Amino acid sequence: MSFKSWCELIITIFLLAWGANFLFIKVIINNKRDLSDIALNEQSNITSVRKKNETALYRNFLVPIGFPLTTGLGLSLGYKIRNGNFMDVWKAIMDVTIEKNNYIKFNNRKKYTLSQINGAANHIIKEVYEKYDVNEVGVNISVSSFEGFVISIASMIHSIRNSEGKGLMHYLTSVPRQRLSKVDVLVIDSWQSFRMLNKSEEWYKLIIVCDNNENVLKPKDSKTLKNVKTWSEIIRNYTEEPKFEYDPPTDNADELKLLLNITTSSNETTSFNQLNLVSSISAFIKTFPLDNELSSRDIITEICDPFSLTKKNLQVWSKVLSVLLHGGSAQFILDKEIDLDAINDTTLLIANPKALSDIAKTIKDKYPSSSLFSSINQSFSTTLLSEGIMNKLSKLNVPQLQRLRSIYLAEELINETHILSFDGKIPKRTKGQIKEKFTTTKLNYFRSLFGCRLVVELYCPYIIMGPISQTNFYDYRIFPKVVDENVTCVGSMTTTLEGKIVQTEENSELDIENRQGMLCVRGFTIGRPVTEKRLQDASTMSTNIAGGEGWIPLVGVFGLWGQDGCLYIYN
Amino acid sequence: MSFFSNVLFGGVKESDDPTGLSGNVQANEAVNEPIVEGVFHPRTLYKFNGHDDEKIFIAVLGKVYDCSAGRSFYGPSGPYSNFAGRDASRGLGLNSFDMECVRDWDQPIDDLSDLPPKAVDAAREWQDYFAKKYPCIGTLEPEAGVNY
Repeated sequence: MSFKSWCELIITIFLLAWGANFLFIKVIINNKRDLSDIALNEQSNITSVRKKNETALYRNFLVPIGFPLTTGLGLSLGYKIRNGNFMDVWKAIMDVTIEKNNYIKFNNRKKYTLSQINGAANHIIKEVYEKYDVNEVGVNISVSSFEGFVISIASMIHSIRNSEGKGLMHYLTSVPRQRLSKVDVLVIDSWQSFRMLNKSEEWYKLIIVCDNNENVLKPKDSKTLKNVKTWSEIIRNYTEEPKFEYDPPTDNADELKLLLNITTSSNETTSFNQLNLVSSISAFIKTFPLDNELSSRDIITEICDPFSLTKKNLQVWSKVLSVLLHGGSAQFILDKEIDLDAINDTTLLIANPKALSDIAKTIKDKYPSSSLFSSINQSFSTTLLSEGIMNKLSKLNVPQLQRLRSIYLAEELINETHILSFDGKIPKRTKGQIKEKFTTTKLNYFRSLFGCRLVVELYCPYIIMGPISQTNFYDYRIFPKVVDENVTCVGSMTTTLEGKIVQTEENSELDIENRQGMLCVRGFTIGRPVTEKRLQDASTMSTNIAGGEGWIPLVGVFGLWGQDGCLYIYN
Repeated sequence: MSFFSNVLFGGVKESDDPTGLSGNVQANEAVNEPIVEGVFHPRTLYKFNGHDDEKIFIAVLGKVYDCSAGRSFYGPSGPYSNFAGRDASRGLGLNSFDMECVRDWDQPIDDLSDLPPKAVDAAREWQDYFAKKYPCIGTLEPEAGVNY
């Protein structure tokens, strides 16, 4: 072949390859993308004006500016619309369960039908709440246990039914060291915790110890045990009750009734009302796009960290109740007990970064794949994901995970003490605002490994029910290294909250013109400080830092708004 | 070759940097930048008429409201498009959409001194309506050398 022929051949091959690449990207990939680039770059509704030293207001793209945020469930009663409350939700769940026969599996691996849970809750109401005329129940056990779940349901039902709101649930992160004036029944997990009461047992009308084993730590003295009962003594003889009766009011009178109080280990109490709960449920249901909605086939699994069980009690409800509402089932697992059989048939998995890494490691150990073919598959899969195409090319053939369709990665803010103190002191930005984080490349690795979607959610413990923000179901972007190194994308605001970022003197390196600063939120899932002083402090801080108008500054939470409308938290 | 080379060599497609941390600013940033609340003059207000700028701002009795959400009413071709980017106090007070009821940006700001009290009251009612419906984003003040 002559030199000219060689040149022609090379040019022809180059043009063919370039043409094929062009056609492949412009025609095939563009048509196969889950979400277009335009949608990914417009994930929030942003107000057209902003105040000096603040950014514009950012909202989820599902809630246009000028329209209300997600507020309650929007239940129709005749021509009226009600926001609903826990009783509406529980009645709907019990109506659905007759047909679907769904269940909850607790962290002791025992499975209970909702009829059993409903029966147990009603039994507790009669045996404890009515008999002892309970004001507040201090709950120092996890909702991921049968006892914690049932006592919570009983409290939620009784506090609405009771005209004075008696029987309110009060989650405690530790056994109280100071007397909480209204708490007259205490629920603790073990005789060991009972010993730690250290004579404070006299503060309560009744102490329920959820430890049914005859333990050496159990006091022998009957005088010490005069106001103590074990869980098994109380729950004995409960029966299944598949029916739940509730006549809803014709207005929204019940929505501002208290749902629960939660007290931190530093003795700061925040209260949440019915509207917080129903708004949070509604916002979660709305996150599912068309053709991926919740259904009765869903099983949600929450992997719980045994060291922050009671801390998580607030965040469990919205997702679990949403799935139960649709006839699905729920299960709780302690992360020290994770094995693949425990998450069998799960469709929605809630995990923190550590638990997710552990599961991935378990899978890789159990199903090792080091062949060239699997490496190519992995490479092809992550490349397609970065182009915006979901695929299951490199999903491992793990029978227990075949139904998994979405993972919720719960990122938690760790500087909640700054937020909850309401002292108005703004700290300097430091590294490590969230516990652990993954790069976007790593997130896509998990997506390809599990063959499912992965949503990153940002939580603020104790003060906001449900997430602050979450990434889009279809967002598989890989950011440049400099972005991954400096910030973590936590998506757009949830539909029940709106956010803005404010400039602070203490962190002048963050430029408000570039949408950088301290995060403030406003909406329907934010709790209320309980004592008058903290309420006043919160109000003063809101006015001084965020301009009042219902804004809550998340003190010490620094981030920026991206051009795509997403919130990015500094690492 | 980006896609095929990524598949062959294990690379991925990096998205644009939405944060600006890499120094690469997206082209549409300046266009979408929100306006800072504050003082408007008839000259600076005028461009927010829904045509020269997508946003629609209307002044009523010295307050400026962001009426972009009411584009079907105040935007181009809308029934009240005359008010967009201007002081609408006189038109609202007299319930008139005529061009004579709005002043150009180089005229003094209308003090409504020649209007009957009933018309001023009507303008106030409209202001209440705007305040409830649209965010107030600043005040309208005369510009030295232009409006006085």
